[in-house]
Amino acid sequence: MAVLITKQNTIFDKELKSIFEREGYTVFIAGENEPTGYIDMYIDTSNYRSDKDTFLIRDGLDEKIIREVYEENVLNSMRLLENYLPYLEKGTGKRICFLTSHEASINETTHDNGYAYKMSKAAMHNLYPMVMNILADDGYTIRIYDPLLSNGHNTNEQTKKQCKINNIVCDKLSAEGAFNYFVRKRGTEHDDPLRNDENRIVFRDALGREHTW
Amino acid sequence: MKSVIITGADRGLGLSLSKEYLNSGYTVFAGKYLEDYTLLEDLQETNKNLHIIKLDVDSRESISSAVEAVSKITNNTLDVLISNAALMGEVNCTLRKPPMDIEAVWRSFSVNALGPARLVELFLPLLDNSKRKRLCFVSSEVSCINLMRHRIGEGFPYPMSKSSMNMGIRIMFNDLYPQDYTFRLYHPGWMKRIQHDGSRSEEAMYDPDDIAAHAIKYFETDLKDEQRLVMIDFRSQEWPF
Ligand SMILES: NC(=O)c1ccc[n+]([C@@H]2O[C@H](COP(=O)([O-])OP(=O)(O)OC[C@H]3O[C@@H](n4cnc5c(N)ncnc54)[C@H](OP(=O)(O)O)[C@@H]3O)[C@@H](O)[C@H]2O)c1
Repeated sequence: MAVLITKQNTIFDKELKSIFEREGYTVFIAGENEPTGYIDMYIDTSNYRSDKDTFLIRDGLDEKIIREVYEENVLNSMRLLENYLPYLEKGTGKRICFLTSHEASINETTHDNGYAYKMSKAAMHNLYPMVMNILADDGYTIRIYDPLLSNGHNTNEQTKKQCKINNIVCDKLSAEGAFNYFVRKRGTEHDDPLRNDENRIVFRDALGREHTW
Repeated sequence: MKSVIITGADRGLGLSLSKEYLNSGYTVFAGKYLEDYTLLEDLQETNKNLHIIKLDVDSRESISSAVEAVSKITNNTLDVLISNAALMGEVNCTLRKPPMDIEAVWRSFSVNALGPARLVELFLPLLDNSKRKRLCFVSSEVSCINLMRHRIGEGFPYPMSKSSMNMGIRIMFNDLYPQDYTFRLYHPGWMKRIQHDGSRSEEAMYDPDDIAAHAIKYFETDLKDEQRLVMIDFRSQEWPF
């Protein structure tokens, strides 16, 4: 089985790569080690945050930061998907995986800042069901995963300190969880469409919890 | 006299809302974006409380000039803000029809999602001086992730932008509701629109005038549950988002 991972920016991303290799997958990395024929699974690890994404509406929107984060999490993500879809079409696995965060759940977030990250991810949350509406008939399935990390995504001192306080899952454990969530099938029973969890577009975190959009 | 600003008011729902607010005795600041539309000017002939102001929600400079214009007339206050403008045109941006026009995703986001947030940011000093502090946003059912029905052939940018907009509104709500601001999020239904080629989309179901008559009631009525940020449609139904 062949898997493509889009980025190796974080500890989580690197852990994920080594787990897939350990489990016998052929792993390609976008821009480093390009696939030649087909891929079975596509994992987009784009999950970029900026340290400066802390402004309140009264501080004024930092549109430079908003564009920077949107470029990475949305525009580049869409370019990558378009680019690698032909490889998925040739493979048999047809699974597409993305990373997100429950902090970007419109229903759950209690924050009064984080416009750049949250608005970018909300755009992607809207994209996932559209992608599936187009691809599901051809056997595609989708996984959206919240790694529950912020230390993997930032390396500055303040973020590291925050993670010491808030971290509940280390990168390695989170990546192990992602691996299982990405490769397993979701519950179906007797071909009953009402008992087919693959029909639901959901996201789950590293503790196995499902979040609302 | 109470005051309201309405963006994208050249035609469609924005124009209809302008008429409704004028009839309700408001001083209306109608955002003009389309140079070649004169329906607002026609309306102004019989309504001295209508002020037409150039307003491109994609430009901070344009919004700042609008703030200045409103401020001069209202003595630095504003009661109600209605974010209605949206970029909706056809774009080739979907899977299986390569190449996707990726920049169109940003353009939609910048107008439809950042536009409302810019508007709130820059009008806040005026809104702060009002007792009303009402922020109204026209969204859409395409922002409802659980109920997404878009398929191949339909572009990605517009629905994505409306979910980003809802997220921006949620963050503003978390911040400003404790500061006495109240929020309205509205899905107007499938309205007859003037298309880019000048034709009217007759296959759509609702007239913007009828929708505006409903919307203004929702925007104007004080609710007992202001702590809930919900999206209401033209039948007063709640939509998940
Ligand atoms: N029509 C529907 O069926 C429907 C359904 C659900 C939700 N909605 C929402 O309802 C609202 C009103 O829609 P409508 O049907 O009345 O559409 P409309 O007639 O197209 O009105 C929206 C206006 O906003 C303008 N606009 C675009 N970019 C702008 C900018 N940067 N600054 C200021 N104005 C700008 C548009 O100009 P251009 O034409 O040049 O872009 C247009 O005149 C929108 O928020 C829309 O998303 C509509």
